[in-house]
Amino acid sequence: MKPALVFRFLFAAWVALAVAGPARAQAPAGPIPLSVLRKYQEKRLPALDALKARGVVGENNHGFVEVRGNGSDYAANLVADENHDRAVVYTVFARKYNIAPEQVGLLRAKKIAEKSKPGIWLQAPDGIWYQKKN
Amino acid sequence: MNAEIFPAACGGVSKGKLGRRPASPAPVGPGKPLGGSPTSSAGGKAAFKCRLLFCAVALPLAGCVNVKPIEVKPIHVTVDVNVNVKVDKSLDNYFDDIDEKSTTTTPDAKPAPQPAPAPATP
Repeated sequence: MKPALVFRFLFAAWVALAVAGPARAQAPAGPIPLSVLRKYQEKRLPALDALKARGVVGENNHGFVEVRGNGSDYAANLVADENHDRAVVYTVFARKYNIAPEQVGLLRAKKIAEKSKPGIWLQAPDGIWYQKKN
Repeated sequence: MNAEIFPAACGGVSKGKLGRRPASPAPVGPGKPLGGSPTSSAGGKAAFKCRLLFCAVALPLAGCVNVKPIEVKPIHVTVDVNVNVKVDKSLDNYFDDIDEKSTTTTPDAKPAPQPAPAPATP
């Protein structure tokens, strides 16, 4: 192998490490603590509430939010982020009590249905969507 | 060398017999099937007997395949209601702050304090 070729290879490897190093350092070392997740959710809350009030987003029967009909990309991204955080929370509690995360989600869905204000779109346990009445 | 290629009993031929086979097949008549019946020659008879023997042995054995019935055992699922209560509490602890700040949910309806029972008058 020519020395120039070896030098090029080493240089490319060094550049790759220099780029990947800081990116990896920025990533969280372990699982995100629940307190941090809650802050993310609180920050997202006004936008999510606005979408829910407009009927663009509803609460499904598994404890997650869903875009109803043709939602925008913005709504879809917001819902995806929220559902990701909720899934983490459900998984943490599921591990704690040795049950399935789906069961935690069901319990949360029930609570959301109880607490939601009139006009919010909800999914009944049988899968049918309805708007909560007084 | 006179080693056999196939056993003669199953209709096979040995190298020694190859020379004695007829050069051309028997003439085919108008109503005669091509190749003749299985019993048209000595080798054919032997082959037919061999197949018959095989069927006689294989068919009864095929009936002896033992198929065990699939046993479906009942699944017992015990749902611990206490766990649900604990999970509910944990969820409330986590989501209460968020639900309070939310404009689409109402805060938990706490039971109104019950009035103290009136003292019994004699």
